[in-house]
Amino acid sequence: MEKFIKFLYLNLVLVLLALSLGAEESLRFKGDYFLYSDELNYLYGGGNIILKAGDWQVKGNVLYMDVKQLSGVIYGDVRIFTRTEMQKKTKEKEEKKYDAIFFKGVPPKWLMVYYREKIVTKGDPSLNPLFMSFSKKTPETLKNSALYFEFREFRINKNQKIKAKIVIPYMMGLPTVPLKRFTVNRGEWAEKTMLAFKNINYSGLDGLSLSFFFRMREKFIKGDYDLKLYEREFFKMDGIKRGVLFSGKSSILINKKEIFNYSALLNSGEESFSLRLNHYKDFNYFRYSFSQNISGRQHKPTFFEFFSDITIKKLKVIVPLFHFTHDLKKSYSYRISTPLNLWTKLNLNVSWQRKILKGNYRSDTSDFSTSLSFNSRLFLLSSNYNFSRNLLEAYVRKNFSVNLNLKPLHFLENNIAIDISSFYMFSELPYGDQTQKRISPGVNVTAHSFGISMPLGFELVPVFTFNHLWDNLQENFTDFNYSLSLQKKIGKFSGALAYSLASRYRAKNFWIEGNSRQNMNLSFELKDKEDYSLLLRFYFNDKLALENISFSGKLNLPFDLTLSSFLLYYNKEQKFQTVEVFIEKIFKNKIRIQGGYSLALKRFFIKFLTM
Amino acid sequence: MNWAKINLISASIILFGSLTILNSCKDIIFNNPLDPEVSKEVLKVIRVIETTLMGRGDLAFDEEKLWKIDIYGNLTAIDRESGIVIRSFLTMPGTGVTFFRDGIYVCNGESENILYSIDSLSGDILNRISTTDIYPGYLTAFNDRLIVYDVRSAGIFEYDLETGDAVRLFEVSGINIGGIEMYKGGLLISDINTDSIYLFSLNGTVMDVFSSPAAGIGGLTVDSSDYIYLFVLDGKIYKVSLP
Repeated sequence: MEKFIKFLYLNLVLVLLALSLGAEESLRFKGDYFLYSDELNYLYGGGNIILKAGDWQVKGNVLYMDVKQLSGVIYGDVRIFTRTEMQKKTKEKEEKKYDAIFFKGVPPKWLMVYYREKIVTKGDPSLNPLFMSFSKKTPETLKNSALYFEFREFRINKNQKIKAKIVIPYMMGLPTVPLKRFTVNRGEWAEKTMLAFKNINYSGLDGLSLSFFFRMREKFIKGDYDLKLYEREFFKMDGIKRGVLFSGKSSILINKKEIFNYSALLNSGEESFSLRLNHYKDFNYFRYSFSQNISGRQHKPTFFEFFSDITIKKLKVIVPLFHFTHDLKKSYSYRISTPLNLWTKLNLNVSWQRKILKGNYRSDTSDFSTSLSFNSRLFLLSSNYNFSRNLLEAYVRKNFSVNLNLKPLHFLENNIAIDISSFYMFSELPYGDQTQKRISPGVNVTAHSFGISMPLGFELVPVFTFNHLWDNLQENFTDFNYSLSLQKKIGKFSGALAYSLASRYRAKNFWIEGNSRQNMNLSFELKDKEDYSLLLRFYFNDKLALENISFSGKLNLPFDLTLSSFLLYYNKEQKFQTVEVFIEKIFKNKIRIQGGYSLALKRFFIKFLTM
Repeated sequence: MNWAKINLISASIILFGSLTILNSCKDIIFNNPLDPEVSKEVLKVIRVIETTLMGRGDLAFDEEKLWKIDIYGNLTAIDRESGIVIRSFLTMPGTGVTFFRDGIYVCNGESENILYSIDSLSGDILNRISTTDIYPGYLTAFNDRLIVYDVRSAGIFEYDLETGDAVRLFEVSGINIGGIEMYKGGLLISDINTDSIYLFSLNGTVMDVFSSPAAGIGGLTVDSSDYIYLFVLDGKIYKVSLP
């Protein structure tokens, strides 16, 4: 009986495998030579090209194919026929030849082209834009990529997955180990139930980890999950020795409609889990949702919490929402909130919430809040009011604020802009056994220029900010912040000297007291959009003495390698506070390599990531 | 009005204004010689760091750089002096971020009871830990423990990452939190509604309140020299000192 069950399982697996292989639609190519660039996601083929797609067959000499768009063109005495036509071919004297055949998609649409006195096209007219604008990349361009593949036969499906035979991978122009069969481009995850290897990763922090992607696309369930297995003990790392991390989201379907969805997390290392089930429905007059959270951790009681909300729609002025939560420990909360749609320019929201928590501690709070904003051509007004009462400890927290921002005023053909805003803030807080009320209105004015041209090509950018605050508890004060930047650019080089001064004053009877702080920085930048970017900065402190020096740079190296560095030197301590230098290379959708040194981690690091 | 005239007038106005202000602001003036509180320390702006990272988000300091997370999942390392972006990844949407045991931890308590550990070099998610009945909205490290703001109960908790034990410290309902950070044994909490920074003791007593030097305050963090970095919605980071 056991053998029989095993036999049945084996047969079932074989049948499923056969079905899944047979069901896959793809374009199959054969030829003398194919070249695929991983970075450009582009394919070139030369010599005796044969393309088979379903019942169709195309023969030609040169192939150009944009893998991402699943579109391409075959040139050179191109012939197209179906299987039936092939069988009749022997009876016909001549085959119809075209100069080019464009194709797109899986299964493909075709557009045949003759170059005669005038260009004649035949086939699917939706491919005319492709014919007009298809970009051809030469084999030399493709070979400039850091990673490319040569092969003689391949198959590509609608998810851009390319499976090739007799493959020679080239890394940085050098041939590596030939492979009999290889998936040179994994493409997008297929819309079917599958388990796929995602990446392998090693780092000094996390150890060795293997990640998998699990997708479910079944009649009753649709979901994506991540599965990660990690090992630390073998690499003599502290903490958790090894573990499994599983997380993902799924929907349960009936007649292709979602009945409910859930998100799940399982962590064997921390011995914890979390599961959240959600259901919602939207009707013409109302919508509702239910949600159940179940979470747990070893040595801890499992936590259950239920959420629900209902929103009443189609009421002109209000759209009330009622939200309710409850857990097994008799903790619960409810909230009623609604926008008040009185006028399109006015946004007003009101909500009230009561939270009663029972468990390891008790808490009972009642919160009321409103928010308002009004946007007109001249100003923006916003306001908040919050009132919170702790019903167990019998104290109140409340605050209120109003902000009025005038729209920026522009002068001298928009060369100078002035922003003016004023505000009023009130707060009441428990302060020991007493309550402290704080009232602080204020005004803020900022004037800035978009740059003033000076002699010798220098540009001056001044910004001035004035801020005054009245405070009933502390002292009233006035801030003046001033910054002045002098800049010059010569080709790829630019330099800037920026000075800023911040002063705070307070009036005390006849006296005006206060302090000021200044700082300055000098920066030099050499930048080429495509090749490099180097920035050196000197920072000066309040006494205008040199405080820090920073350098950041990015340099594009051959084979699309990027060298990045960041250094920060503290002049007073005479030490490097930050040093980060690393080289990074991303082989599109395949391998990512990072290597370098980080002072923060106090080590050299190298990371290999397959993607 | 032609271009030369505009520039000339702009330059004159701003330079004249600059010189006047510079002269008047540079030194302390009219200090009362009899006032013992004349040199009283207040919140001082040390430096304003310009960054390209606009929008709400929380900050963390990793003994070297600043990190910012936002609800779109952008995790960015910034130089704390120049504001230069050192590294940037697209990872999990987050409301809070902290540096703890040589790693970056991100949480999103608005919708999840999960803590994410992120590799600071690649941005990969290293670990996901269920925090059961705690929905961490903001977090910071303290004495080998995490201090966490729990969205569900609007409370501040001390959380042991290894065992999952959570001890409730105090409740902060009514404050629209932008970020939390330990500072000299107390807990700094920024309030978005009032642009204020509260300094709480760990038993929940308000020890001090400071006005933010700029409107639109978000997350905050503290470096090893006790300078505080305040992130503001327009992308500026204010490096300030507290008395």
